[in-house]
Amino acid sequence: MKRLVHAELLKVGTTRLWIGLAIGGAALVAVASFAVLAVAGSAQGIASGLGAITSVADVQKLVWSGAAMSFFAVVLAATMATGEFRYGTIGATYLATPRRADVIASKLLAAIPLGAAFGLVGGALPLAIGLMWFAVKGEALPFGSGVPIAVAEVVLQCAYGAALAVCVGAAIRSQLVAILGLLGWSFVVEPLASALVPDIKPWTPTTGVPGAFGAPDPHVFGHAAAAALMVLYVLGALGIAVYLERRRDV
Amino acid sequence: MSPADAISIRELTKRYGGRLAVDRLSFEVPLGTVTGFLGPNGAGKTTTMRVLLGLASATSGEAHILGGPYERLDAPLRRVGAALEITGFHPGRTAREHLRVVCLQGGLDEGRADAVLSLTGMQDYARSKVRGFSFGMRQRLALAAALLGEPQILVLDEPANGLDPAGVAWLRAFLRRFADGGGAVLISSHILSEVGEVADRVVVIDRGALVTQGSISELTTAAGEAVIVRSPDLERLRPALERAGGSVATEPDGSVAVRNLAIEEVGRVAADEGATLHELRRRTSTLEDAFLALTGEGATPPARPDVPEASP
Repeated sequence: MKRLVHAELLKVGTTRLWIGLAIGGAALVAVASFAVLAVAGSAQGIASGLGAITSVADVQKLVWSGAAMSFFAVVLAATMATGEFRYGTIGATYLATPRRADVIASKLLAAIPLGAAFGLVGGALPLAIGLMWFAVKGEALPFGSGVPIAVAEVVLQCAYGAALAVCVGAAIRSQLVAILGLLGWSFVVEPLASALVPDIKPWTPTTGVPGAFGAPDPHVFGHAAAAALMVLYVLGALGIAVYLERRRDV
Repeated sequence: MSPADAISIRELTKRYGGRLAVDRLSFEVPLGTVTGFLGPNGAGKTTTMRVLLGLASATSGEAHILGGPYERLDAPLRRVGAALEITGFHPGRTAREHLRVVCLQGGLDEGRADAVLSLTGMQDYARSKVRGFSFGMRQRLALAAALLGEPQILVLDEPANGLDPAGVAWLRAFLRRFADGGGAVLISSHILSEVGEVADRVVVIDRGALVTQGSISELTTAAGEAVIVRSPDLERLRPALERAGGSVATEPDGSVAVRNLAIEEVGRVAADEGATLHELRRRTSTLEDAFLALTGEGATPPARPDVPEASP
């Protein structure tokens, strides 16, 4: 399995997509961070819930804005699976590793650290920008144990998004359908279902359960329970992908 | 399946919905031989190879390599090298990167990538991205990937497509050496002359079903040699040849092909009839003749009534 994971990482590393997504994601997070810092504490900011950054909790909110990076991690992870079908390299992959469950599992195991790396950029970048912003103003950014925890939460969210996306990509095979499907699920299906049946909201896999991390509001699940549910969702998605892929022709 | 069989296909059937792609196909590929896998477009050759390699599931029947399904082979790239039309390349990777990925996936030494690039004449393109490759270069890269594990069996789908003459000659010599060294090759091709020059045996399929299999000499003999006769007196000569036991068929160019009579006998009948002969020759059957005869491809087009018969 180790060499298969290595092969998956080599596949990603030998194309430019990850660079484009990393730069795009970092740029978006940087712009968002500057925007937050610029309006925080202003009349406009206060009106939209962005008070002045004076506490560790405020810095956590800044760091959590880096969770936008998860979108880019999701696209990269989905492409790790769907790209093989798009370019026809899946034939060579299955010739080398006929056990398809191993192939999908290796993609999952490779997607998790890649998603985490994107998350680290997403979590650390707002913090770095905040530090510079405050340094330029001659002030110190409030810092406490909650700040690295917030960074870790962004890392976790991105890794989780990537893990789900690679399984969905393997199950759906089509790059466009997989990415649009994931976005549609997160931004349309889950919010709509949660609005219709509010009780299910904390249980939803892409917005509800991960909300136990990286959000100021108390969640019905503790961190341990939410993490366990996230693992279950990923394993469920993996199971579906393996079940479908083992029965399909290439 | 005998111990010497590298590949064994038994009653293999593959159905896509209502379409029958492979119909109870059975054949073997012995070790130490090159077996040509022939059939018209859509005959089911690629589908058979895909099922054999575990890329598609069989509806019924068996497709075994070295005694079992491909999926159960331990270190499959060390046993079987395959180059199928459906296997692609990421356009953004270099040739070496593609091969390194395959090496990692197959548990092979990454140094093999450079070895097979040299073997297939691709060493100068090792760092070139696949997006700039011609079809022939992609074929060479696919062959390079198939050879990475120094396999015992090669399964090649139209490998000569796109290769330049030097590449075709190299491929032919390589496959011959490979089989002579004890390996087995299953090669599908539309370039029948290429198959004829390198294959020991051929398997011909049409509409997914086996038409025939055997050595090339068996096939060409079965297709039948003929004596070609061109004469202005065919109206008289034809019934005489038929009375002598010959089977006479008109060729597209107006001559006749006489079967079941030796050339000397045809000459004697013509002399007895006082027929003038413009041509009398023995035509040996080629693999292409046999293929066309067996599959019904390239049947004689209907006579054009507006074209006058050639005058003597």
